[in-house]
Amino acid sequence: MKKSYFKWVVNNPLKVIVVGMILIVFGVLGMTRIVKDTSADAFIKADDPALVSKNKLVELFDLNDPMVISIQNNQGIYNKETLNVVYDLSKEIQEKFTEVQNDGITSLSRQKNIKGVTDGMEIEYFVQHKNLTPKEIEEVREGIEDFPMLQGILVSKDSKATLVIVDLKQNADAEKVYKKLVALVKKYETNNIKLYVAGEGAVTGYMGAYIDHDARVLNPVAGIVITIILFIAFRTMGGTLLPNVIIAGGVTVGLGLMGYAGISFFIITNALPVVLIGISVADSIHILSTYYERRRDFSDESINDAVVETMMEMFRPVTLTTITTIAGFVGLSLSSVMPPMYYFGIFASIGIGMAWVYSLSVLPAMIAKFKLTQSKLFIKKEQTTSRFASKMAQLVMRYHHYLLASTAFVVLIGILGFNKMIINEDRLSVFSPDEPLVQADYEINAHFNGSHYLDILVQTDEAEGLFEPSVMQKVQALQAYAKTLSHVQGSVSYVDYLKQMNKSLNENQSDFYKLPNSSEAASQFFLLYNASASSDDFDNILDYDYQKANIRIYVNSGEYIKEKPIVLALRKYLEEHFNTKGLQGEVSGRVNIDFEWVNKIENSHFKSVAISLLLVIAMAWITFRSFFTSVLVTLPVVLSILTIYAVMGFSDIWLGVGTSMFASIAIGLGVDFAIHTAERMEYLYVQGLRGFKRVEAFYASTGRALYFNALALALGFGVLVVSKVVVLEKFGALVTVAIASSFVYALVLIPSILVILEKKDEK
Amino acid sequence: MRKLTLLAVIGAVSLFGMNGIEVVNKVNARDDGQQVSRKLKMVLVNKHGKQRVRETKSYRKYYGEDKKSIIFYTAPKRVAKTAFLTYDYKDKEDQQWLYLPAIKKVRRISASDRGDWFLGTDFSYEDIKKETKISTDDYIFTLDGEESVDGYKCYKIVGTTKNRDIADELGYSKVVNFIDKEIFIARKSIFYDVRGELLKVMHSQDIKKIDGIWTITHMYMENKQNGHTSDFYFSDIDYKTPLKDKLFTKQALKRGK
Repeated sequence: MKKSYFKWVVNNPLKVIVVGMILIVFGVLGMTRIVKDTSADAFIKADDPALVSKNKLVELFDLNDPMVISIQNNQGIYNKETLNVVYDLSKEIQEKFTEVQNDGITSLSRQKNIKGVTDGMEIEYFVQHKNLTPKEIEEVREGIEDFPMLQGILVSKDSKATLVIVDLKQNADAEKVYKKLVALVKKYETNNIKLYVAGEGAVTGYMGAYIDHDARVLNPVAGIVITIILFIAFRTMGGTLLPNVIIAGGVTVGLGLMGYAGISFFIITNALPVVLIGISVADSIHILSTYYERRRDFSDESINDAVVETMMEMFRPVTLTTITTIAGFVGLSLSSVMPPMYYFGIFASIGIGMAWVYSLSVLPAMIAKFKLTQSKLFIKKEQTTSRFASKMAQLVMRYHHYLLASTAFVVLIGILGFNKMIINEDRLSVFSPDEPLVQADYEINAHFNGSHYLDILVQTDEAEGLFEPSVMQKVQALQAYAKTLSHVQGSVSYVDYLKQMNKSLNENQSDFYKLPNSSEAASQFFLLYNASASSDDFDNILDYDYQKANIRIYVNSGEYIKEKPIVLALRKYLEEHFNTKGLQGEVSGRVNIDFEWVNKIENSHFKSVAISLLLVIAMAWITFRSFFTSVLVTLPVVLSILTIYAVMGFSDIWLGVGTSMFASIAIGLGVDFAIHTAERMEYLYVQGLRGFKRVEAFYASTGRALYFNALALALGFGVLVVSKVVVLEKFGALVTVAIASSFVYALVLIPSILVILEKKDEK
Repeated sequence: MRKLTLLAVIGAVSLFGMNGIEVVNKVNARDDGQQVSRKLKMVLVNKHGKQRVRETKSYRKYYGEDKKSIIFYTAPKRVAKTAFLTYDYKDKEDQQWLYLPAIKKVRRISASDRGDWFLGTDFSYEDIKKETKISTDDYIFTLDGEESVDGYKCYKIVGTTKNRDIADELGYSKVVNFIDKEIFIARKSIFYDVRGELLKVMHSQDIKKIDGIWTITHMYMENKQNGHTSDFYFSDIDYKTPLKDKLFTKQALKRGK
């Protein structure tokens, strides 16, 4: 059956090649449909309660992620030069950027001050025109000092920076606006004044450009590296070029289907082409190696026969390793709580499956069609690699007990490292620390209350319920409690506006910076506030009938381990001190989402490792029909995962979004070395080879192919190290170490164990 | 395109015998009463469909080219008796006071800018102050033909702000008014923001003759950018009963008339 299939392939190579090419074109067309999604929300399932809650908040309070421009002057901002920049920049953005909402700018020149004067109050912009006089500048300073709510939010507490906050009509414009803003602010920089563009909107915006740039570097480099490895391995034109067609099949069909299925390209998807390039080539290396060996050993055989025999020999190991690799990725998908990883697993599996199809159809067809010439490296049976093979065989024969004992050491170090490893994530850590955006975020968090928002949605049972004195007091107490938490720098809610109004209506006496004493007063204060406000001015802190409110809490760190205690403490506080009949508070917003999804990694990572290991053991058990062998082939990957935990623990690499993916992938890939090793050792045993001869023959044949296979994979993933996306860089480094270590463990441990067993059998 | 518009304008002038500014002058010459007292119910709806209903009793009286007006809130209960008093001067900055019953204090508040939103509605202070009249100081007018609005024939008058500063102040770069040919009231107005994007659309409905004066009893403004709408319903309109000067004082604010 198999044989007649391969015979048909080599007899009809053109048909097979043409179908293969058509599929590649189909894939390329699909790839053009792919759209990017770089938003933070993409990392969490649409129906996750945290995202549902945040979306409810966004819907209720129009909370889009803004762009934030920080204008900094080390001499302080209260001078004509800096305030002119605030005025001109706000005006220019509002006038020229059609992506920005009408009235979508908040800055000193767009924010009204409410100031109590002797017989009344004045409501006017802090900066009303350009070129303020010294007296007017002094009034701006006094105004801010009298408006506690704006300190640390619009103007830094050290008065050296002020913000221009830009609200977009839609988040989809973030990338375009970010680029335009970065270009625009340069114009306003002077020796004294520095401008920084940041904010969640900017992160989303920049991420898009970042991914594109990264992909343009990564994918060609990966292609070139693999091609060089192929050249070194085979030194023939065909041996170097044909596997590239297999790569094209795996990558284009995998990514193309992603496009047809309408699945977005997420930030971690950037690693997918590189991963597919590295994995797709493995089958070709094994098939071509076997083919060249066959041409050498059976020189009178026709090319077509050699291809058919090669494919018959390689079908089983190539299929098996493909299944186990897919099992690793499926394990990732099954256990993943984040859509980007879920789809990564799915489409990597599809791509790997396609590479397998191409390896078993287009590759033999091309070898037959182009009559692949023999590689010089395979002409003589005694080659340089054989010397290395004998040395390795001697080592294993002589020291196998020590080699096995050393695994205990690996396990020990692994456990120690595992205990040191921390689970953490920071969305900004995606970017290289010297990126302007990261610098900008650092500057803003250093000067202001923080660029990370935790929102608390407060709901009452009836319209104007928020104006009940007991409710206002609870909200005030909640804000005071939040302020006591580490990394919380401040908060804003409607009660802050009420307190400011109360003070302004009472000749600016600071004693009156307190809650109004009746619900009528609160209601009337807001009516007054609305007297000159736009109809949607309070949309982001209050709903229209004053039944629901948003308390925004400013956190100055985006790190999971710092945000986690805040989220947990506030949830507990709400439960114990806030929620009553008719009043409910709910933790929501970006910080809550960040907490939820990293928390899920904490729970899912180990599940994912377990699922992948079980899948691999099950696959191996079915194929080898031996439980012992299935455990044997799993052993090297378990050790390599422990090695990675050790690397992470001792070099302070966090287990986070990207890095948590390494394990399933490392299992799926790493086990291939073990399978090829076990399979070949068994084949050689059946062939009658024993002891040193058996081990030496293994290293000279499959060992060599595995070496290039490992090299292609390690360097393929290694390419990710040059990624500017730090998550991918670390992910690439970890998978590279995983591949290298599972390669070494497989090639050393499995022959050692089999030699011991062989000796036992002889006794 | 500009040529075509010009031709259309010339054509329009010759056809209808009036140009843009003449139509606007007729609008501004319309009698709107020396004084008026009326009830105003404001129904404000945000884009989520949530409603705020505010009821007021208001009075307005001309003093030459200056005018004074006072608004007392009557509902909802929590804001009842809150009141605003405004003096609009032709030649100097306006003055404004308010009374909040919860703190029992009359407070002077700084005059609102012309482009500010009137009491959180979709009308600007300038829209309200002009009472459907049209400022000739701010715009250049062209007549852009005729169109029917709600079945009434109207002049289509395009008003473009004279310069950028005025546009910034008003919040509009252009206003297109559809002026009823018979009674010279804008039946519909379309407002464009300073960037030239569609901002708001206003409809005047239920126009009746009260005490011999053509009066709009229902105005509907829709903000096309944020989805917010404002309905103003006027009732109990009275142009005849004289209003005492002491009604327009701080004492009256506190007294609630």
